[in-house]
Amino acid sequence: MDTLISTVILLVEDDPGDQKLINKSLANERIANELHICSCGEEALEYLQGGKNNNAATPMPDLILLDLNMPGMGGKEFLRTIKSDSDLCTIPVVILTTSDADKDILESYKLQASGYIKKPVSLEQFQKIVHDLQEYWFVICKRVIPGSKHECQNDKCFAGG
Amino acid sequence: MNDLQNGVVLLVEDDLGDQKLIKMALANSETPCRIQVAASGEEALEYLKRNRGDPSQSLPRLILLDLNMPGMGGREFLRQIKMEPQLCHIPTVILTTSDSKTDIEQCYRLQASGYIQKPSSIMAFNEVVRKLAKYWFMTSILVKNSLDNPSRQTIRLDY
Repeated sequence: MDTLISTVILLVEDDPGDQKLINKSLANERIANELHICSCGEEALEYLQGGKNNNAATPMPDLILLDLNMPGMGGKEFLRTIKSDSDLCTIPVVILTTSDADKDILESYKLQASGYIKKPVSLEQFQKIVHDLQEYWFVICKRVIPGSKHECQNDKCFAGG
Repeated sequence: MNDLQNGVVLLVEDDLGDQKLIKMALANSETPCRIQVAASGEEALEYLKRNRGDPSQSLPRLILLDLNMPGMGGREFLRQIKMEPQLCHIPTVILTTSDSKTDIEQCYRLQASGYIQKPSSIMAFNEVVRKLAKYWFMTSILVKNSLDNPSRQTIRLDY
């Protein structure tokens, strides 16, 4: 099952140190991937708008890694917004944050996050997490293929819990 | 540390052979857990609705869901639980024979937290279930839905 897959990951994270660690971790992975980084919710929404418009510089991601605590629009608000958008709600979002508060965990899952990971501190730990993320989302799980959009007229997008 | 001793995985699957395979694969994984089996969407929904209002019962922390079942299929079950405020937080992973692009898109649209096509070989099947369990029970933190363990129900990463 070790096929080279090209995947696009959008990281929504304001801390430059963490941005670097995740970038480095992904670079070491066998699976070819394109990492795009946005430092806040608003920037990420603009990025995704570009994706909707088929802007080559901001391709639609196959996976979003989302920090919760960011200035301006926080992670939860961003998550709520994209889950209400029928063009974006099929993209899996995994929370990657320093908080392990029960409240944050429950709220994130209620907003339909597809995973919640507490940020580790070392590169080695980040690498392990990135590897596990890719194994799950790009090796064993099937992805939505662009262009297979089906008119699910009876299926409303989840509008947030 | 595996805290699924007090946690339940709900398997919604009508095929007896697949039920057995999945149960065994989970039991032999790095993260054994208690498994509740429902053979149909209706049975699963009934189980969840019965437990959600009862403070002495746990809810499952993860749901594994087949799509093609007689009566209420997987899609309809998924649609219904995602509309329930007390159930919609439970991650639901599709485990099905279908690799239809339409099925995949529909399920993600309904907020499935993963879509896995059942492999045909037992070895590959085991491997897939092992990796699925690893992601949810070791990499991710799940909502503690169990009421009998008062301490933190989250997994400490052993990295």
